[in-house]
Amino acid sequence: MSDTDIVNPQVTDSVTDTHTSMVPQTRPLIKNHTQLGPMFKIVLTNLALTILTLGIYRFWGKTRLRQYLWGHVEVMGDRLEYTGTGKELFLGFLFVFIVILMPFFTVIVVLQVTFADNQTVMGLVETVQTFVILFLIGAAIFRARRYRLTRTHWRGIYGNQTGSAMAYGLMIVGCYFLTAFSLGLAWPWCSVKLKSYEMKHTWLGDQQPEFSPQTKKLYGPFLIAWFFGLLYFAALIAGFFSLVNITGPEGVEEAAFILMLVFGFYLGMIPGTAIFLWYRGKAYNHFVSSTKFINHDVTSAITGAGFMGLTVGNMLIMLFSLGLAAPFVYRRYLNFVENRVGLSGDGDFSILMQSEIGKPTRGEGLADAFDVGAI
Amino acid sequence: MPSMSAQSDPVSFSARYYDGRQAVAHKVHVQLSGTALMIISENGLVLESWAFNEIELGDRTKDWVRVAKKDSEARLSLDDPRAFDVLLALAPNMMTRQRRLRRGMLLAVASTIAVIVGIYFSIPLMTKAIVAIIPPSVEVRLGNGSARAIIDVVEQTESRALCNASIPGMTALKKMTATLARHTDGAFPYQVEVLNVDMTNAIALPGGHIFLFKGLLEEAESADEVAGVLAHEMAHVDLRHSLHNIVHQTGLSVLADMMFGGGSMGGVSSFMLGATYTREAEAAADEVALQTLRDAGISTHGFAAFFERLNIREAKASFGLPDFLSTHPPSALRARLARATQPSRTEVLSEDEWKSLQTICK
Repeated sequence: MSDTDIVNPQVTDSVTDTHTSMVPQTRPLIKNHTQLGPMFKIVLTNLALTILTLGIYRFWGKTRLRQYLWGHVEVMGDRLEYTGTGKELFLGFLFVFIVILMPFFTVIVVLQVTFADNQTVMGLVETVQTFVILFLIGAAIFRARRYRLTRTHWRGIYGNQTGSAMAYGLMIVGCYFLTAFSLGLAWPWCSVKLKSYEMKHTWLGDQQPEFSPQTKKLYGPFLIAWFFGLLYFAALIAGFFSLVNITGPEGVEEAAFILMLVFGFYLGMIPGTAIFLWYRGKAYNHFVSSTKFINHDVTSAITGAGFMGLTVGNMLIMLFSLGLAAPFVYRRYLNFVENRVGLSGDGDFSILMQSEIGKPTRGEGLADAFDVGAI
Repeated sequence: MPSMSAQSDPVSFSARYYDGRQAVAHKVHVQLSGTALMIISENGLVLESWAFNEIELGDRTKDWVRVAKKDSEARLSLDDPRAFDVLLALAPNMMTRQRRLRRGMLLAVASTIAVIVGIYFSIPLMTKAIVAIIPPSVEVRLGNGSARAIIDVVEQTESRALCNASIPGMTALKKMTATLARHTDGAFPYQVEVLNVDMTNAIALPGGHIFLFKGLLEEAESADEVAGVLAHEMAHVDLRHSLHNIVHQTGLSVLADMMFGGGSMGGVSSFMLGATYTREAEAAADEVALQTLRDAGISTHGFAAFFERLNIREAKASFGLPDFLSTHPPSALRARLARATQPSRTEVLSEDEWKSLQTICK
């Protein structure tokens, strides 16, 4: 155990202070203790049992994986603890399926059947359906975050999230349309609004982080990504259509040629997407370094290229292993955070007390239905 | 327990203690007495004492273990490879969480599978009940929507979806439809149309829409054969098979979504075109169709010959038969059934009428 020497934060923190009274020393926020072997055992067992139980095991499998991941991430000398249970996830799923999804889709099907020959009503039903699904996805993300925070313990203190899933769902719907109508230009503004709402309602015990991002700092990198991304996709589409109209090389069948072109088009989309990952890295860097917690600054060395490399690599690992190599992805991600996210300052964590805000008794049903749960 | 305390050293571990109220890791010693675990601060104060039956395992690695006090946020973190085994021997509820987890999981899996099996077997009954309460007017509207959707799909590749320009062809088709319709009893007026698609196929939609495919007319060798297929599709309409099928498919896709989660909206809206009939429905439609042909005095040999040829093709084809064919009852059986019935008294169309029907798409 590497963390035996770090015992009382009050002692360690004050020791660091005397040495670096002017420039607070930056320490990594987390330390990653995960190992590939045990993670593979969990991931493969989960997969086998999920198939054998026709999918029902997934709630317990997810819980087992999280217990491992949380328990092997050390924050300021103390390991996190995940206290959620499979039963809570299962009940969350049942609740959402019976109370929300079944009635909703029953109404949709009845409307579709009743107005099958009325184009106007069908169009209206489809629009409303899109709105409601977007709203539910937003609410799902927010509620799942609340569940996970309340099940995450650090030094015996658990997190929480206040705020309203309804409000967040409506923000997601609004952002979706704003972004669509502005050709993407509203996205940085929207992401600041959404992140700020999340952080404003985030708690660890009785303390809240301070979060002060500046929208204008995001627009520089975003406009670069947006401009080159748009240019790239325009060139890709123009190239595709100019090739479609000429006949293929001698000896190559027409259908095969078209198929090759379509495949090439999809491959060509990867670099275009990577430009936006570069922006996301920049955005995360800004978000992380705009966060303070109990007189500590969260510091970030996340770069656009670094985040792009991490994400493209993870996507390729998942793609070529059909998801089986997920442990590599978890490790790469945690190592990335360990190397790039730090904490500097001399805050006293002993002022952090358990809060009296209640916890939800079940979780993530909506997130399960829409497949938006991260891990 | 006595054996533990009887050892020369009183069992003691160094640990970190979190009281569950304040985010502080207290450096402590843990001492195990006869019935409880004592948490002792560095300056010798007993901070707390946990009865052995209140101790539950949180998580652990090879050389570290974290335990919780039952129903509280207080935690004890022990960096000692022996700690887990020692506590396991003393604390009767050490593995309670793990046991509860396994029990809950088995219960949930068992009850869910029971519910799913129950639903699966009640689907046929529920389908019948739902079909019975859907009024014919709704079925007609549903059929109109499906017909439009099919025509839209065909129009993406063909200049026209329906072959309705040839007046002699349309007259022949109307005559055949009317001849058969006099001997059926359904709630819906039939709307028979020829679809400009090169497949040997025919479909009946809810509410009276019937599409004969161009390929079927070209494949058929006589008007009797087409009449046989048409009578079969009319039987599907009268028996409301298409509606039945849609209700059934919707039920199944809801069930599948429930099992696997994720993307619940996927299957539900795409059900409309996935109309495949079950074998029982096919057999029922065959029976009605043969009765119709007999009543109309049309030879059932056409019906038999057509399905016999399909049967030979089925035998030759190793793969890739359209669903429409593979879910039908074996054609040989069908052909035998039709052969056994009496020969014709009347011809459904004259030779000229048959020629113009067969070339309706030209």
